[in-house]
Amino acid sequence: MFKKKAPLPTIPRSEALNMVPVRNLEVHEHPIDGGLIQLSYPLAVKPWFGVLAEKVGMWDKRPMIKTLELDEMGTFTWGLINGERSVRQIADEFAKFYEVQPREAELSVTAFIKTIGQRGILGLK
Amino acid sequence: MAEFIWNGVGLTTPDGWEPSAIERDGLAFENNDRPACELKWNVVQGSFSFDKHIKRLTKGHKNAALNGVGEDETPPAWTIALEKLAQSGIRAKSFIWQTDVTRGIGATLHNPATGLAALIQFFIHNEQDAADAAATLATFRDYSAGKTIPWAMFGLKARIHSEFRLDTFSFKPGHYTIKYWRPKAVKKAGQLPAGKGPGTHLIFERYAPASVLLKDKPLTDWALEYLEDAPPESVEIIGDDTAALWNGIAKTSLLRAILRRTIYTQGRVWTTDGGNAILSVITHGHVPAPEQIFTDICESYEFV
Repeated sequence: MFKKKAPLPTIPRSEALNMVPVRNLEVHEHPIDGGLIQLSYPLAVKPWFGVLAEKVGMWDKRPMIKTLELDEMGTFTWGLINGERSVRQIADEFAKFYEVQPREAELSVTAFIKTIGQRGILGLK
Repeated sequence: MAEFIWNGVGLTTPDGWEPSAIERDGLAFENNDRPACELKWNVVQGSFSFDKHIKRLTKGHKNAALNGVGEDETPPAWTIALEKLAQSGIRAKSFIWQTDVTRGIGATLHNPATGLAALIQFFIHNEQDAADAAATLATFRDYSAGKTIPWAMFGLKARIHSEFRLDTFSFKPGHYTIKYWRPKAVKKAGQLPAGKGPGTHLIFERYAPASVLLKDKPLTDWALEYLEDAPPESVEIIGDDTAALWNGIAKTSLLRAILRRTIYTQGRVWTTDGGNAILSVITHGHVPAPEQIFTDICESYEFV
């Protein structure tokens, strides 16, 4: 119970920037007002939660769908994720389009990818 | 090449170098994910002993085999860089160090005219690093003696009166803030910590991207809602979609007037022609900034 958690593996920044984000095929995008998009994605249910929810009749084993509305910059970045561009290339495009500092774009894009990656909306290869 | 001027000290770095740490009295740069340069400085009173500082460094870094060296033991390009610094009145003593994984070269620097003492070191991984180290050292500048002091960081630059002292700063994606402080009693500037007691704050901000921030509202409305030190409702903002300004009293009462604690505020916010950003300069505090000085500061604040 009190066992120390093993530290998560870390990779150098340059290696992380060369990774390519890939969209989850289960994610669907829906256009909304103002040229923005809304993503709907299946919620990853933790096994212990799934068993508990099923037992108390809260879940019928159908995948739960959640939605996420992206703002203008999120929509722009999402549009750049095509399974071919690396994180670095996406950040470069972002910096060029919004005329921000390269490092600033890098931090914004990586934060966005991390946030939606944690929801299972995309993966990195 | 990118120029960085911070709290009175300047350095021009090769392309690809990025600041990895910014402190009030220190800068660190990295290149290709590896440390490239570290710079620390302070203002010292009285005489400065190079030998004492080299000895202290040697003692503190026993694993790094650090040694003070004469000019005849340093690379020719490094020696030329030191000569250039000597021409501008900066004295120096070099040192080299070596560990199992890397090596480096550095120098303790002292400007007797201003009392500025600095420690600079470069990490050498290959021959190009050695050339970059010498070229960067030659660009070291001490700006602390002027009546006005420049700063330049992340593509922005401005020039401020030397009585303003660096207070706090942050560089977050989309929002940069640099705050200066000028105490009401300028003679006590060295005794009080920045930001304490009566005085005037000077705040530079940069918000980006402007095209997104100003999509749904005009600049004046945005300024009132989002600027960290936006003027109170009692102060009128005059402006249009590209620039706005205000000047007035933010807080006053009979008691404040008697105690001379009336708070004045003055500010300008504008969108840039290039760079897709919103820049703002705000002063607020117990002493109103003279109009001309404030105008000069605003005009000096721009993209590099």
